[in-house]
Amino acid sequence: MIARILQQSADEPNEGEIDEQREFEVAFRHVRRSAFLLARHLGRRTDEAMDVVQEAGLRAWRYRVSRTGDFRPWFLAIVYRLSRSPVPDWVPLPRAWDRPGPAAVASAMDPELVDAMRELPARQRAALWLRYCDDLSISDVARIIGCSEPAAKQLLLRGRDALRLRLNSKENSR
Amino acid sequence: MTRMPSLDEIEARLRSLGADAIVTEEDERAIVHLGVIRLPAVRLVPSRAGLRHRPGGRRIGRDQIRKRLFGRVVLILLTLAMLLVLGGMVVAAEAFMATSQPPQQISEKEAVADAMRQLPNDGAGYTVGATQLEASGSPFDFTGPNGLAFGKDKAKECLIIPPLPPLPFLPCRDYPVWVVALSSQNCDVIIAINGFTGRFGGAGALSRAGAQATPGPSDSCGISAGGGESTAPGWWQPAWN
Repeated sequence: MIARILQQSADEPNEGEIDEQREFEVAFRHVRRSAFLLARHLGRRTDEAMDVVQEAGLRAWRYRVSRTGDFRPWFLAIVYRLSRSPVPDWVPLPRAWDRPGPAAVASAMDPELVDAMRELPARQRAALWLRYCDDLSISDVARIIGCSEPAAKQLLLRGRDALRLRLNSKENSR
Repeated sequence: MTRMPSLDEIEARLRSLGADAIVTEEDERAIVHLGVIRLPAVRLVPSRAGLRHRPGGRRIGRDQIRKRLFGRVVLILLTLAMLLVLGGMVVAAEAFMATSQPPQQISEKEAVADAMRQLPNDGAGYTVGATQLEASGSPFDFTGPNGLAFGKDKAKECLIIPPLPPLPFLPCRDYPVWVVALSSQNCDVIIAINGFTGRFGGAGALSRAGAQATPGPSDSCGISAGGGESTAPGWWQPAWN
């Protein structure tokens, strides 16, 4: 009898685990769009971005006990790291292996701006998108990118300045 | 010339862009597919940082570090090996070119200029007494106009691939020798010059105070072996044996 109870507890998740799984799935559903678009902004193709988000979901589930703070920036930090690591860890290539962002679609509101963003370094592009398009706070941006808040502010300032110069040079070249 | 947009304008444009500026239909379909995630029944594992603080996890962390180090060492070794092979191929090609081209003998004028370079002040104050070409590189004895005698053994040089030492299977060749007799107020000298490369090949000197004729590098009369800049390629080096 005791053996049967132990067997049952090892194989079947208890109610607490089921609740935790549901909570995780709900949190994942809320953040998946942002995560997917972050991967896309970091230069991943659609299928690659899907893989990145799924892998991030599995990793987040596996390491969920180590989470501190909100789910959203924590999960986006995992997506950011995965999207920025296009090569295996043991290959000695720079981690910031930059690739251009996605092209603007025809229906976009400001294709010039998206075009200019594509030319920015991936770190700046991600910071601008997270802060201004995805409405995250500067502390969340810093946490996702893995830098201090002043560094994140500086990154955003430099990103906006670079965008301004690019837009101006494009307008002048017409 | 248009006005440059301000940083605030850029911020406003970014905010109005919204999150969906790049979303295509394909992206939308992908996002919908992402709604279904199958979470495996895995044991809870803390983060890597957490693993390092636990006795059980320390082993995993070290394994990963070891694996990465091993991978990096293998890649560095492979890169070094490739660079060595490429460098060897380049050196071998250059050596092959050096051996395949027929050597050109230098003229008497060039030989005299090369001989002058072995003397102090590029031979200022010296006049050329006599020159002689020993074309076969065989042993010979030369006597200068002032009676100074100079003997030369068989002249041979071998192919050297730096930084390797002389290798027995690489080819050797005889080279012609230009012998130049020069004299000044205080000295009579005889200098042997390699007829292919223009390098110093031995010398003898006779000072007015007393006679001494010695083959090979000599301090007499200020002769400095290998003086001046040699423009000859360094593939062929004299073999003194």
